Parts: sequence; C-alpha cells; structure tokens
Amino acid sequence: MAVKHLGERYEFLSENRAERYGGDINFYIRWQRHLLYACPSAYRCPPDMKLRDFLEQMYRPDHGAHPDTAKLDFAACEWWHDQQPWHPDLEQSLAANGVAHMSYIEFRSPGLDGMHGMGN
Amino acid sequence: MAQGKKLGLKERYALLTRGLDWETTYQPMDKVFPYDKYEGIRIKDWDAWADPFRLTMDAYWKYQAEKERKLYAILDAFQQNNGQLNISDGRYLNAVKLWLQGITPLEYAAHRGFAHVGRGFRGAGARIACQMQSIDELRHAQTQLHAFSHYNKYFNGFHGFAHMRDRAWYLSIPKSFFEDALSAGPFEFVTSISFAFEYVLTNLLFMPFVSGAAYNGDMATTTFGFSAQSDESRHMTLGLEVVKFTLEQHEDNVPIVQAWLDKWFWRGYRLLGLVGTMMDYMLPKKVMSWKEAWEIYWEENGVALFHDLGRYGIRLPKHHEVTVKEKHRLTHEMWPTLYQYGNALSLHTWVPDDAELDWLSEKYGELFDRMYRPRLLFLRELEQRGERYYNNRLPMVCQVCQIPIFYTEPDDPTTQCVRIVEAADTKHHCCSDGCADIFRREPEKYVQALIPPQQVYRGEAGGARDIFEYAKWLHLEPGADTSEYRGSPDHRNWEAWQAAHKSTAADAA
Repeated sequence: MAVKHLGERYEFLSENRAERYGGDINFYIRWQRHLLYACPSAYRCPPDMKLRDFLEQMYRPDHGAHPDTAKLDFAACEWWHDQQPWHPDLEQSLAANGVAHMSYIEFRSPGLDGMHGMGN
Repeated sequence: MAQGKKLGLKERYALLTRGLDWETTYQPMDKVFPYDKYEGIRIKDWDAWADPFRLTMDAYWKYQAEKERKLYAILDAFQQNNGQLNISDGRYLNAVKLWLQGITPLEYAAHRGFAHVGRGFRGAGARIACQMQSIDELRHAQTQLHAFSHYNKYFNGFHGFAHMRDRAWYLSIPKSFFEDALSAGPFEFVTSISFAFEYVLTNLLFMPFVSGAAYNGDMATTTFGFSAQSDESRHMTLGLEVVKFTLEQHEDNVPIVQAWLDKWFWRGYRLLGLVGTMMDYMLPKKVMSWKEAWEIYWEENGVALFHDLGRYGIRLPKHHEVTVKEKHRLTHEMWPTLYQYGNALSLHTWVPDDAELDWLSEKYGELFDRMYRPRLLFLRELEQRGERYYNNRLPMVCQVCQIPIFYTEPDDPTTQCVRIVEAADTKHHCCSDGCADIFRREPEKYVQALIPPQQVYRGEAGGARDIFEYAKWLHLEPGADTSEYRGSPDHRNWEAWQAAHKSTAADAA
C-alpha cells in the first residue's frame, strides 16, 4: 500500500541511506541465546575491515560482561546473514563476505548457551 | 432592552455548534476545508455529530478556572511544606522524570494536533470539541510543568526535558508516536489519539501514574492528575463519538477505520511498555503489576468494547493476541534494557531489592523465577563486584515504534524477535509483526524516521562518536543525571534529608 496524500507526489529517500555514511556501512549483530545483551548491537565500520578484526577488536571488547565471552571462538560459531544461513570467511573483509549497509548478522556459539539454562 | 428568557444548556450548545456555522459562498467549502476528504472518509451529515457533554465556552472557562484555583492552592501548600520529603523513596522521582520527559511533551503535541484538526473539520460540532480539547491539553502540559518544577529544585534529571525531547533515544519513542499521528489526516489523528489512545488505552496511562503517585506520597502529581481527570472523561467521550460517528456515516469508512485501529492499537501498546516498566520496576510502592493492568484494562474492558463495535463491522485489532503472550515478560525485558543503556538516560536505574523481587515473583510466577530473576541477580552480582553493567554500544532500533529491539518471539522468550522490511533503497528493521505491518502499509512515511543510533553514526548528534559524547549532547551530567541510582547524588541527598527530617521530628517530640 501507499500513503494517501494531498500533493502530487509523496516520495522520500530513506533517512539512513548508504551514501550518508561516507563509504562506511551501518550494520547490526547479535549473539543468540545471550539475552543479557538486550538488543542487537549497531556498528559503523569501513567495508574493507577484515571480519575477524571486527569481531575481535570491536565486538568482543564491547560484550565483555558475559562469562561466556572469554571462551567465545568465532571460528566455531554458526552464522546467519539477514536471517539466512551464512558461511563467512573470517579472514576476508566484511564486504567480501557480503556484509553491506543495514546487514543483520546473528551467530550461535555451540556449547556456550548463556546462563541459567535460559539463554541469559 | 428587553430581557430574554435564559437559554438552557442544550439550546446554547445548539447555537454554538450549529447557529454560528455557515456554508461559505465566496470560496468553495472544499478549499476552506482542504484536509477532511483525502483520507477517503465519507461524511453525509455533519449535524449527526453529537457531543454528550454539550459544553459551551462560557461553562468551559468557568469549570477550568475553578479547577486551576484549587490545583495551585494545593501545589503552593505542597511546596511550602517540603512535600518532596514525604514521598516513599528517592527512587520514586525517576517515574516522575519519565513522565516529565516522555508524557508532558505529548500533552503539548496533543494541544497542537487538536488545534490543527479543530480547524480542519467542516462540521462545527467536531471543531468545537477539538478546540476545547486543544486548550485542555495545553493546560495539562502547563500544570504538569508547574507541579514537577518543585522537584527540579532538589533532584537531578529534571532540567532538560525540552532539549532532550528532540534528541534522546528513549524519548523518540513517545515523540515519534505523536508525530506519526500529527502528520496523518484529521480523521486518522482523532481515531488514533482520541479513540485508540484516550479511550481504549488511557486507563493504562493515568491509572498507574496517578494511583502510583498517591501510593508513593506524591501529592503534587496526584493533584494535577485529579485536576485533569474531568477533562480526560470528556476526551474519552470525544474518542468514542468520533469512531461511532465515522462508522455510522458510511460503510466505506469501516475498512479505513479498521486499518487505523490495527495500527494505533499496536503503536499505543508499544508506547505503554514504558508505563508498564514504571509500574513494575520504578514505583517503590507498587499499585498493581503490568500483567494485572493489561488483563483488566485490555483483556476485559478493551476486548468488550471491540465486541460492541462488532455491530459496525469492526473486529479486534490485529496482533492483539501477541500482547497477551507478551504480558508475562514485557517489563522484565524492558527494564534491563533501560538499565544497560543507562549512561544515556536522564533518570536512574537499579536492580530491585529482595522484597521487590519477591513481589515480582508473586505477580509473574514461574517464568520470572526461571528467567528474569536470575538475570537481575546476575546484574546485582556484577554491581557488587564493582562492575556495574552498562552496554555502551548503541542498539538496533525499530523503524516504526523506535524502541530498541529487545522483544522476544511471541512464542519463545529465549529468542529475540527482529523483522526485516525493505523499502525502495534500503533495508530496515522492526521489532515485531505489528510494527512491520505498519511499515509495509506506508513505507514512504517510515523511511523518513530519524533513528537515534543511526543519527549518531552519521555524525548528526553534535558529532558524538560514542554513548558518552551522546549523553553530553543531551546535556546530561554523567552519574548525576544518568546511570545507577545507588550512590548517585540523588540517593545520597535523599538519605541525608531523611536522616535530618527524622532527627528534627524526634527533637520536636
């Protein structure tokens, strides 16, 4: 459907469109079954950043409060990109792995299922 | 001059709403009232509009002036007697901060909205009702500011509500709710605000806040609440009248109104999560749980109302069943969200004490005990180790309700819920099927939303690069306005004042 409007046209570009990031991308990532972290986290990064560098240098330090974080092995994780199964190469860049503006990444860590048997 | 017979209320109302109106001739009526047709609502007879209160302007001024006199006498007494020392606990003020920051600006927005639609309808009865409500809403904004200003002398976090309204991530939730309505046509505005919010959901806003204020010894808030109550009953009547009038005028209006009810029930419900969280976590003396309130005010009263509207062809709003599934967990998911992003909040957060955890266990039962209580106790453990938990990485936010996406799947409280929606040039994220439906119905509208974390990353939040610089841009003083309650200046002051208050009382005895 579309907005009912009075003027001749009602068309707008997205406020958060890619070209407003000066070549960087804005994307989101979530660790499944670790609900201590209330929400998926938002990032702005250059797309040529290596995926492993992003995970080790940005994601892990930001998410240090959970007792599972220190044991987390990204290479052993199961991954999804925009809710589809995904097999990233951690040594390649975000862009080479298909991570683009407004991508949504999820991962699950086998053997690390959060606290209290409830994914906390 | 001959003395005429004094007119009755009904006659005076008829003269005001019918006799003073006319059909324009120099300009076509469609040019004078350009907004009341494009939404597709068909009105055959504007004179069928009936206002059960039949309030005229002279009576309106008289009633309101009386209420003002009483209200300000009580506020004066509250201030002169240091009423702030008689509240239940210093933590209580955080509920008042949330009202000031989140709700008072909505009263002002409602004033603007009703002033606009009060000009937009070609029916004079509807215009008069909207005009009075517009003045009411301005009065509510003013009386709230006056009542709360006393607390601003003694507690932090009250100072920057107007500055923060257009900037703070958690205040974009109520702001976007109202601006969605303000930027719609006049019939959608009154359906959304007067009916869906003021009629269907208002008990969930006023009851917990005003009863909560009374329970917690806050006579200032209680008094403006009661002063607003007679206005609210008039607003609720307007809400019901709007919907019945619209539905009775033409059968083509039914699907349009239904789509608005689907949308605004969901948006209102999402907004009320903040109120529920206040009830369950922020009031030191609890009134009732969010779950109990939802059962009484929605599952019993709200559902019965929708069944009554069944004779017009209206059904229950879409996704209503999700709200019932979420009632067991909504507030237990939202409070830890506020808690962890506390470095950019103009209010304090804390882990409930044992008595409060027991109350939550009693109200919420087994799922709370298995899942949320251990989560809260883990947060307490971190705090006791001197590692009070903050999440300083900005969250993903829903493109429609603008709430950070913390919700879980309706049938699985261990899996977070995200919906991806696409518009022409960009992907967006929603917190639920309810918000995703709203997006897909009017994508051109919601792609324009200013989402605070994205605004920060684009460098449009005063150049802030992280949550601390962002808080500075909101004019927040770290630790004084923001973050943990325990050990904050508010907490320390409260303890010192209580000690002094007790020793003065003991000396006097």
